[in-house]
Amino acid sequence: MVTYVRASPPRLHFNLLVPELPCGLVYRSMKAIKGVLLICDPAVKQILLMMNEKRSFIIEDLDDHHLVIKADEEFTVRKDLEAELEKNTYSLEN
Amino acid sequence: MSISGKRMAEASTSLQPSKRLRPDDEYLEVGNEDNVFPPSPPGGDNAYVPRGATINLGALTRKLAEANRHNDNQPTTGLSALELHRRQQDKLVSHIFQEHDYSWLHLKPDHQSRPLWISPEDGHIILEAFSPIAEQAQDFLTAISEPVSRPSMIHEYKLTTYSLYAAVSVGLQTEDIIEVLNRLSKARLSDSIVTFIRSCTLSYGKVKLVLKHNKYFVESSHPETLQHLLKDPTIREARIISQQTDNSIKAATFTTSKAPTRGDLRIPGTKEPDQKQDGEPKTGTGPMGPSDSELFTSVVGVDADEIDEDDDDVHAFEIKDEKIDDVKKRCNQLEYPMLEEYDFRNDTVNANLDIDLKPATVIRPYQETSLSKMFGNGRARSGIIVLPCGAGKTLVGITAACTIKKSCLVLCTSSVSVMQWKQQFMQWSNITDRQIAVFTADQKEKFAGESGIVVSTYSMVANTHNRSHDAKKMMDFLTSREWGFILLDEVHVVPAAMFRRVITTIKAHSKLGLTATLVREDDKITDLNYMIGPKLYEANWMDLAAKGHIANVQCAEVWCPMTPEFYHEYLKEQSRKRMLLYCMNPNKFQSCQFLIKYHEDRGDKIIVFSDNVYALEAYARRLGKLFIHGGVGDTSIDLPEATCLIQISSHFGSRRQEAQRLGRILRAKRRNDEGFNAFFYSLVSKDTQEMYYSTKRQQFLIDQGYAFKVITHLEGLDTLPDLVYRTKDEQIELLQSVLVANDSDADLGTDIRAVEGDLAGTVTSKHFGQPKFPATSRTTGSLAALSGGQHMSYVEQNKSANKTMARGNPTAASRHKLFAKRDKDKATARKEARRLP
Repeated sequence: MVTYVRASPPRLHFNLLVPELPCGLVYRSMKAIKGVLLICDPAVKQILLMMNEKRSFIIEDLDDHHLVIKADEEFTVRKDLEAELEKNTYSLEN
Repeated sequence: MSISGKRMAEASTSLQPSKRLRPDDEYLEVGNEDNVFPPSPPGGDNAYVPRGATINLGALTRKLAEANRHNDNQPTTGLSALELHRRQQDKLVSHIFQEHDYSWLHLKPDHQSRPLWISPEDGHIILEAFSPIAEQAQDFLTAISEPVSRPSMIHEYKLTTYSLYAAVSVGLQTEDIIEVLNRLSKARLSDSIVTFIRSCTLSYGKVKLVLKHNKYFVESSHPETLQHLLKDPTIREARIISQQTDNSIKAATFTTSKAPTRGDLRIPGTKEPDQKQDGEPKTGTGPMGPSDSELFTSVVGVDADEIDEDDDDVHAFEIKDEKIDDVKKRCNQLEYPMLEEYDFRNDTVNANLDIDLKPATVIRPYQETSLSKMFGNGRARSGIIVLPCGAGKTLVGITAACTIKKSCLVLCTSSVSVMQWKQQFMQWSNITDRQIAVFTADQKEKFAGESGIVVSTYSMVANTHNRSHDAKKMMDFLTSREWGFILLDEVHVVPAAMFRRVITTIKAHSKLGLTATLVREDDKITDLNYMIGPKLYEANWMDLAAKGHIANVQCAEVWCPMTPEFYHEYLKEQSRKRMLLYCMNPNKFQSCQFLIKYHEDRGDKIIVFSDNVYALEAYARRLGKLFIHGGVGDTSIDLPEATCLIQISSHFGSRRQEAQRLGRILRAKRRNDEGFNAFFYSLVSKDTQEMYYSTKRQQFLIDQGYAFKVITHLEGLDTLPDLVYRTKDEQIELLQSVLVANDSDADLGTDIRAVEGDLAGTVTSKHFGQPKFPATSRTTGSLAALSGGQHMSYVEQNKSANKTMARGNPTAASRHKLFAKRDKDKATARKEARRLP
């Protein structure tokens, strides 16, 4: 079975995710979230979107092949995804 | 190799979990290993490599490096670098294989010319199929063991109790089996295997149940066995003591007669010289010299069964007809299972049937081999013959009937196959229309004359209730007479209970089961072994394909990615509709269209298979092709022209169904172009359950030696003109139509309506005369669905508004103030109008 997900080798750190501010307000502290860019095929993206509904980890849905997720969730997301994909694999053991 | 390795691991742990090696055993092995690879230096560098629980490549390399360092300190005098390297490798190997490290087995000096590895623990046999004597070894192995996996280079077989029973039943003797195995094996046969073979073959087949002059005899060539049986009260009671005139001790006990010989029995359709050739091994090709070749002839060859007749005399005692079942059961309990044989040439009670193969009919070598297993000693043995679809199972059955030449009952699964069997009988043999009768729901015929053939279905015969008067009369006809031969088609699909009913109601002297796939998902094989008999012969698919008897098939699995929209719905859906979603995947549609186009241009005839009628219909309509439906193709119908098969849905992991479907194209005739002449595509939606099912289904075919090519991208798909569902809009429209489909549409073969006499899953001719667009189709659904209420084009926006409407007269409270006054005025006006007259 091929693993579909791979983080792009230079991990992108997003620190520019600032919510749009209403005019005239001064934003006191900048909030930054460390993110990881995931490149995946469209099907895997759909699985990730489903997983996201249970436990939010997606920061930004860029297009069919790209997602930005929270960096500290990366390991669990990978593990869950692996388990999900493994369900469709037949091996002689089972 | 990795697959077989895995299997062996699985089997050995499940079979003999207690047989783990103890540590002191292991030390012994290491010592042995040194003996095998001399010269070894004295010293303690033989440190036993601890066996880790998991194989970790990093750890292995570390260990290897460690061993290297370790060895540097050792006195290496007298050891070349190569030898040192060898020894390290050996250690590494034994670490990897753990309990399955058999490097301690002593190889024979000429092991290279011997083709077998035999696992000392679980009876698995690995055959080097590239060995010059592999063909002979294969013949022998198919006789004594079950084939597990037979790809092109390395075959795997397994010795089982039943396979050894079968070996004995075709006339092989214990010592010969051990002797030949020993000769073929690279290492000496281990004692555990020898003991296993002895224990299985000792008792089986020593006792036979023979029907002679319509009397049942228990027969054996070992008088002491019969003595032993007679000590049992049940058996003693069942015995009929006949009058003896001879006073000698032996004769006083049993009737003694000459053992039967094959003599002049000739299986019709075979030629004498041909038979000689088959039996004779190619002398000189084997590296073991002529004496070994002779041994082969005596054990493996077609004439092998004559071994039986080393004992000239057989002994028998007669038993009462009505006690047959008790005796059989008792013998099984005493571990002397009875072999049933029919001495049809000496049966003078049942009338002969004048049937023979037409002179032009010639049977193929493997068909002959299979029949020779059945008629080896001039009698008919009961059992099962396994041949792939399209390899001429029918002809084997017909030839067997022509050999026995007695009344014959043929049972098949559906009334379509009933007609096919009849037609085949007429085609290959000289039987006349009067002698062959058909018993189905529609036709109830009897043959004219003393003997003949009746073709029917299992359910017609096994059915116990609701019989019409005609059917009842017909059944009386079937049960009242004795049949020489009963032919059981497609034995793998028949429910065991139905089988038992058939076998107990019909009195037949010999039984032959035919099947292409002796795998059952429910593991009912043992039942068949008991009810019909052992497996007499199983053909090697790859071998038949190589010799051109069946088509050479290229198998491929085409991976179709799910479109994001479909996959989104797939993930949301938990019900059976999931299946509909992956069947209707637009990418699969496109792949199917592409493959159909490609093979049509090549001149192939194509069948598309689907488990799901909704999907099949959608495909056929969209791609403008004809379709038939109703679980048709799996077993019953012959579509001889087809050379290309595409399956768009393969629900459930049925290995048998996959093989049966492949069987639809095995009949493809060899064409002059090189390589493959038939194609088998499985379209699979990626990342769905289908991937799981698909791999599971393939296991049987993989074991037969088929290799599935995985196609992830079809070259030229994108440039295909008029490709369906190219745009996103079209895809979404398709998705919506799938989503509004009834739940019942996701069912498998919803329209299968079997006629009386058909087994479930098979359909009779009534429902598919010829391929057609159905003029009308019957569906069930709510009235709303029928009027289009469930379609996307009709959406109810504000349901509560409707409810208030239904409540009838609107109350004043719900009316606007503006109207309240007007209503009041109206009411008073009405009142006044009523008062006036």
